[in-house]
Amino acid sequence: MPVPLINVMILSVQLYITEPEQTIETIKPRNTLNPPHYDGIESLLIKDTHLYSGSRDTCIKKWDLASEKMLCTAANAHGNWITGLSNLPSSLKTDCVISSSRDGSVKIWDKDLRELYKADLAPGISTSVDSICVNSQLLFTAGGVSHNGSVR
Amino acid sequence: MLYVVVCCRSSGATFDRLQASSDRLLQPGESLVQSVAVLRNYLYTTVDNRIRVWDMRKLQGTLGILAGKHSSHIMCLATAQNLKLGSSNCDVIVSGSKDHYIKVAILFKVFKLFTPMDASTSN
Repeated sequence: MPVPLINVMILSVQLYITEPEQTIETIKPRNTLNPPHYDGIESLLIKDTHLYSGSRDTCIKKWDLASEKMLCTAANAHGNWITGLSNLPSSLKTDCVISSSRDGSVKIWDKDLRELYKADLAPGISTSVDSICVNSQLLFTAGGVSHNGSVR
Repeated sequence: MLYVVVCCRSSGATFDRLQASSDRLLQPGESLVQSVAVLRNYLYTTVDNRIRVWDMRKLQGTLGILAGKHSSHIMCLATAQNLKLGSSNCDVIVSGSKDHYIKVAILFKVFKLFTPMDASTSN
């Protein structure tokens, strides 16, 4: 009976020692990025000092966080809302991003937002991809028709 | 393995266990949490058009709210550590909203409360 009690104590002490990182922070008032999208923002992705944003207006924009300016935009990137943005799996060392959309497609974009690859996950059926996620090798999508597979 | 489940609500209340399935409906004063993000020891969750900040070392009550002057619901959050913006390294929280705007909050470290002990002073 005392054995699990000791385990719990060790675990809690370890958590307490490793976690605190005591600093005081100040928060700068927020800056708004301009020009805005034409509809609500659905997804954001930070990569180095760049920010990618996907919107319901079917555009993907790329911003520089240091200067807070828009770098480039992909108008009509998909046929419907952009629902998710993600890095490529870390095993492929590229600076491309993946986007998913409510029209059921997944596209890969290079760093200047040029389309490199398009995959229709369920051709012919109107279904949506609602979320997208990667691990070191695989790309996972969730949506109307659940689906996972390797990238390319 | 020992797991501790803490249920955090959008109003700032926390519970030590998951609530029974009978009250899964939104209670008065609560709103849908659209997005969560983690940055260092802090957890950021959206509450309507603001961001609630939680300390993950002690999930009892919240630290406060980031009011970002969004005029509609925040749909997504993104965070990054140690970005080199200009001359200083800082942490960044980005929020995207239904009002079509993206806002960037920048966290600066002022000083550390604990500086490491200098071992070379004794001799």
